[in-house]
Amino acid sequence: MTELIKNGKRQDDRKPEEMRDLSIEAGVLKRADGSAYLEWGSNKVIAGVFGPQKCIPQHISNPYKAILKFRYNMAPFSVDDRKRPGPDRRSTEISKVSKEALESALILRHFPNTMIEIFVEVLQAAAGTRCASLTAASVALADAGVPMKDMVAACAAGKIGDEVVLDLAKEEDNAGKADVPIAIKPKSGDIVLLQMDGDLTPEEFDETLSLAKEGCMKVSEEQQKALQEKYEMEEGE
Amino acid sequence: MRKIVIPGEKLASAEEKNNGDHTFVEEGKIVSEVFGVLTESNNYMNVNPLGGRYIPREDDKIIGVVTSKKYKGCIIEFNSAYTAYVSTEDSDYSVGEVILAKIEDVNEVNEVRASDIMKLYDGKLVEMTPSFVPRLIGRKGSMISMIKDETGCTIFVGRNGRLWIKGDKEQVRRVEKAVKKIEEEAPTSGLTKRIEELLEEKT
Repeated sequence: MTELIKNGKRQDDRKPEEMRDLSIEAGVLKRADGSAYLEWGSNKVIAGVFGPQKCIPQHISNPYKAILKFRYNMAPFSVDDRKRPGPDRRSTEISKVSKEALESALILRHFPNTMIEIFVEVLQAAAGTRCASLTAASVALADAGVPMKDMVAACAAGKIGDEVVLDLAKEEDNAGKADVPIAIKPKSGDIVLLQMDGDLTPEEFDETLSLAKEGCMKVSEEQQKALQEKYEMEEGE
Repeated sequence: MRKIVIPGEKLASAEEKNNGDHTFVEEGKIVSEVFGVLTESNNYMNVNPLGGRYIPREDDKIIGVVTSKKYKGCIIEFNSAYTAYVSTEDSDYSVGEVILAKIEDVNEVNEVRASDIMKLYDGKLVEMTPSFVPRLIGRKGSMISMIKDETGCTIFVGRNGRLWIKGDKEQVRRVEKAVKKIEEEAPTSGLTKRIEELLEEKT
């Protein structure tokens, strides 16, 4: 196997602290209340938000706030070997942690007895899809006019060979030593999602975390740009 | 061009300005809670959202559709997360009818009671983003009366982002076109003039 990192250069010619190319477009689905399409390296993700709307089933509604539903789904054709369609252990977990991450940023008390549904479809997957889907969902929520304290931005960092790097690509994720996806509220720096796969020493962990936070800030800038661009484009028409 | 703000964006210091619609105060700063357009009036920082569903408010006129009938009343759907109950002791309403109503009362969990209902016949129901309705009406109704004069259509505007247009088929289409343009260019200024041009060039 070729080395993942050689002379400070990664397989795809990136520097250790360099992110893959990220582009986001807001308002791509006509019939959703809010939507976003995101490309991050070779990850392709589409997110749609519906609501706030009538809560179905009624018995799960909360008279103090809106409830949130998050569905992360990978398309069968999104990976090299066909993925068996439908929810599985992994996507159920990602849906849960993503929902909880967003709950801490949204202001749900404005809409008692309602639900907000978020659907994220991964069309092409190449490591870091949970960060990609959370980032896209956040833009879609803002596009849907859902009130929030801050827009959640997510990014991963990890360890390949002996070095801490930002935003692991697919080969790096498979053969690397550790992967730490995080999501933050950029304004306050609060961490709303933190997971770890692999082993890191405490020092390495601190380094990874601060690197991932820097990545989140870059992601946040892209998110803001995507929303600003939505109306600039329409003006030019 | 007015300023477009994103959620979490700091607008001003809370000591200098007051926080208005769709904003909150955090650490001495006024912060926007939605993606919208910033408007400042009387020292209040307001944000007008660029999306989102209608939130029922007392005394608003809404255009809704009867979705189901209950004992001595019916349920109205009006492009919101919530539905309204209308008491109809005196007259009969059937499912699917379009009505204009006034919101009488909204309680703390946004249950809506409406009254002053009026049936709307033979028109076309058009939807737009609720937060752009003030833009469609214009200052002292300048925009909407201009559209009415230009096309000769009868138009009812619901605060919930629903319009009911009655008139000649071709004219109704022109109104729809104007509404679509307003929706697309709502954050820009000098809109009334451009809509006037749009309507003139078609005749």
